[in-house]
Amino acid sequence: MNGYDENPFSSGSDYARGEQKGGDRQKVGARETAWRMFSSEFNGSKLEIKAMEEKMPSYVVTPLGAKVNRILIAGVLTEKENRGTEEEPMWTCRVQDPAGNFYVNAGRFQPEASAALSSLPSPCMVAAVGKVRTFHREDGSMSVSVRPERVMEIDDAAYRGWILEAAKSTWTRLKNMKRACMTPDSTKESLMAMGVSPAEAEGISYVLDNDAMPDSAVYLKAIQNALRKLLPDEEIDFGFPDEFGDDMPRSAPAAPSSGGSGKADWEDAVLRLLEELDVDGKGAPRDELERRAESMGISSVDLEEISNSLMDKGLVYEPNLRYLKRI
Amino acid sequence: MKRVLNDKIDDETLRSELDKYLNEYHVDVDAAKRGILRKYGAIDSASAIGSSVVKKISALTGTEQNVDVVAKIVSSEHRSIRGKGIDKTVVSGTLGDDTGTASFTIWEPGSGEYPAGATFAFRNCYCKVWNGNIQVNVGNRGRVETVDADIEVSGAVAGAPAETKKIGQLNGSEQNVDVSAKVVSVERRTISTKNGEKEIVSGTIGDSTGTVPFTVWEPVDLALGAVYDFKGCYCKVWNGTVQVNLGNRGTVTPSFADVGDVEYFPSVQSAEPVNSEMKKISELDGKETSVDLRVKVVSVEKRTISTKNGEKEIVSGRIGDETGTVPFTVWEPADIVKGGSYMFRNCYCKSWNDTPQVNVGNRGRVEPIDATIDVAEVTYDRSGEECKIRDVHEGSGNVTVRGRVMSVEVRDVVIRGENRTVWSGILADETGRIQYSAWKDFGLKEGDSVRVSDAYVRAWKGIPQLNMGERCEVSRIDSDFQPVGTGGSLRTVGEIMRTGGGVDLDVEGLVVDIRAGSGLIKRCPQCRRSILNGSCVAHGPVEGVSDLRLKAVIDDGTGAIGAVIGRADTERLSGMTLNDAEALASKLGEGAVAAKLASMVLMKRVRASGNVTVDDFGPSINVNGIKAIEVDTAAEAKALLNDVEANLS
Repeated sequence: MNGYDENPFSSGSDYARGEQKGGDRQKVGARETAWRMFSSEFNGSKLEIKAMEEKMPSYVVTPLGAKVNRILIAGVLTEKENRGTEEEPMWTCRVQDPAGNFYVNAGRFQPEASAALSSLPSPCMVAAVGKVRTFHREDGSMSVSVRPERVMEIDDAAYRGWILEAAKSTWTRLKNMKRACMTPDSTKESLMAMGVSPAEAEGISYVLDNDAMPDSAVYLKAIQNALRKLLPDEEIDFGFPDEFGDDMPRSAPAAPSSGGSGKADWEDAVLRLLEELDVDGKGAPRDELERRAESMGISSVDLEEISNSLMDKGLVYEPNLRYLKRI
Repeated sequence: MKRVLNDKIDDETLRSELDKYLNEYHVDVDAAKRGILRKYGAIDSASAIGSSVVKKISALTGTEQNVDVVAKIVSSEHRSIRGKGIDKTVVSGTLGDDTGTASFTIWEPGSGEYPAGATFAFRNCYCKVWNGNIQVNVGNRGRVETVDADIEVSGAVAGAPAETKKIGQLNGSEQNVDVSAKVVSVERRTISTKNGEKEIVSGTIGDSTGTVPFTVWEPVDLALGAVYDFKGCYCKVWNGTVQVNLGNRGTVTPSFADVGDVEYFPSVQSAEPVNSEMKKISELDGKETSVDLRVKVVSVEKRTISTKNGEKEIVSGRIGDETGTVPFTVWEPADIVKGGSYMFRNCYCKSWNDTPQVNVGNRGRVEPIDATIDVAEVTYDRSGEECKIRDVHEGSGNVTVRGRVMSVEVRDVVIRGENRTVWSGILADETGRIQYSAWKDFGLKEGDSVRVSDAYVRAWKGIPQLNMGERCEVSRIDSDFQPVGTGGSLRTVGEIMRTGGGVDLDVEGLVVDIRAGSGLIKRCPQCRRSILNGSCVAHGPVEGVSDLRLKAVIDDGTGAIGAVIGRADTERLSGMTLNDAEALASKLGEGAVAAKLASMVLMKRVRASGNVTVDDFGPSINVNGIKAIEVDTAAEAKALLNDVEANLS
């Protein structure tokens, strides 16, 4: 040991979370782990553990019981947009991984990440470390996004490394969750006794106390997609179709105008209708569309809102006033 | 698509963009379309913030993202806050309309004045809930407009809607909850706040589904055994136990509710009798909340500790009776002499390594008595259990290990005014390495294989150290193990957080951050400390010597560890030498060096060796050897595939 070393954390305001009490070995000021997970698990988070005191961290709890304050993501930066100004940027981006999209927002309080995003081209392969943000809709549903601290362009090898780590840790969580579900009265303590790490044990028991058991199909599908990417020569089939999860959120959290989660389903329904009604390539006639939507319980006012939202997202357009067409 | 893009790009560009998205980056078609449309300006959602709705204060739920409120300022003040090193002034206070009041904060007040009594329209606000109260926030998207109107303000405080719960249903995240419960134990306490001293009431309440600790942050009178309605409580979780809190917006009223028999679950300490019981030392189990002991002081020491209220003198040592001895601490200044006999009243006990510890807090007292007490030799320290070096950690108590002496150094040290000789070095087995200090001459020689029994463990910054004291015995053994070398002992960060640091450990993970203090620095030529503004904290103004270092954060998915990486390792890892760095700094400044280093090491997978310390800010490794590593993703993916398939079938 040298006499002059300094704690690399001592200057970080993040870390000064007040004194700790008791002989608990868990260090309250320790930096939060950057969890590795696919977008489908992250975006599926419905639970939140809010900070009750100043300087205490908040977490979202994923369906597989990861208690996430910080996350490490990677994927293809498919789109980016500066919704702020040159001086005060507010970058809104999408990063696509083998399971769907991460929604990424960085502003002037994330100077390194904002600088990186302004200079990176889309598409390119990136990795990002950041904090979890939550967004609550009027109907009480929650969506999540990533506020990155660091964004870096990475090469294919690094991306594959991330996919592997995310797949491995997803699989570990899935197995632990399954064991917890099969053991009656699982507690944090009993899970730790089975060798589950304290953080994961806490997250799993929180999910079991507050939410339904997760549907393993979503996560197995993510692992399947990941392994197909890593092992292109192998026949890998866990019995899931190749496309992304059906529950992939269609609306970016940064665009609250696009409405609640029920709307996302409606949007899908409208998109399907558009395809069905577009018989001659000119698009779907408005009045026919309205009639069909009405029969599905979508009022014409709702339909107006949905089609506006779909146009905002660039998924549909109006060839002329009486037609709507899917892009 | 072309039509949507209004011919902003030609076919060629469109085709090559699509090709790039779909074939090079393998993203799905939807994302590719969106990406291209976004890039060429066909989607512009900056204007799509959405229109806000106007709400009355009583209609707020605390989850609004975009709401307009027309309200009168009830009170307001300019406050200075400090975030991320930036000082900033905000205006906060209370606003109200005819339906209620809520607190508010204007985050970018500029030069605007928001005096009490004035009425404004607060546009594009977002709301949050804090301790059950609704807060209206005007952020950088929001604005405040003067309104020429007067509003009658209702006194009701807007809060998240309350729910009623049984105690067993509480999960600790409640912001506004009503419970009816019986007071199982109650105590008034005085606490220091920034506004002076304050009386609060705490204890335990229970119903037929369980008991929980509670705190009422106001001085109220609660009768033991009586049932009350606690309305507007908020809950927290502390050490896995839910706690009920009642702040200034909550109320306590006597209740006629039948809460049934109080169920003592989960185990709550206050279920113990409030009156102290008398115990012998051998009877202590370390969980007593109020116990009396009749003892003789075996050893005593006064110490000064720092608390948030300044320095404080405490007294600690060892007390004993005819059944044994235990450590004690009196958390107030007290005159206690070695050899004296005392009654320790209303003590509470804690357990540390299975050894009970007696504490005398502000409720307890120590009274001298006239008695002769014989003290038994027995102590309640756990006897040395044989374990592997990897498993020795802070708090291990007494241990027995086998290992090989890797080094020996003899030093003379002064401990409490006494000259002592200490033999120290590294001991290793096949699982790990540990620093040892022998306080008497066991004749240790480098290369010896030994069994060390009844050594005790102390830790310095989370690094466990094996101490061989008077009771320790060392015997030579035939070595049946291969001691690990430096860097042979790979740990996960999660493991380190649970069991503490150590010497010569390896960690493996991604470099996820580069912290301030990385890059080119100046060091004091005498003590090697890094210096700021040409002045060393120990040696004053000095001519600094240039050095290169990295303060990185390595994260392996189980935890994050700070890494201090010296010049040689920084040069090897980044490929940038000190000369390169100085040349770059002279051209573009020192900030460019740190930025360049960051771009070369961030998101790299590394394996670092070194001594790991742990303190309140988490673990950190003083790196002695670091290299970038590559993972055989195909092989590991194959292993994962096999595991998944085995578990699916």
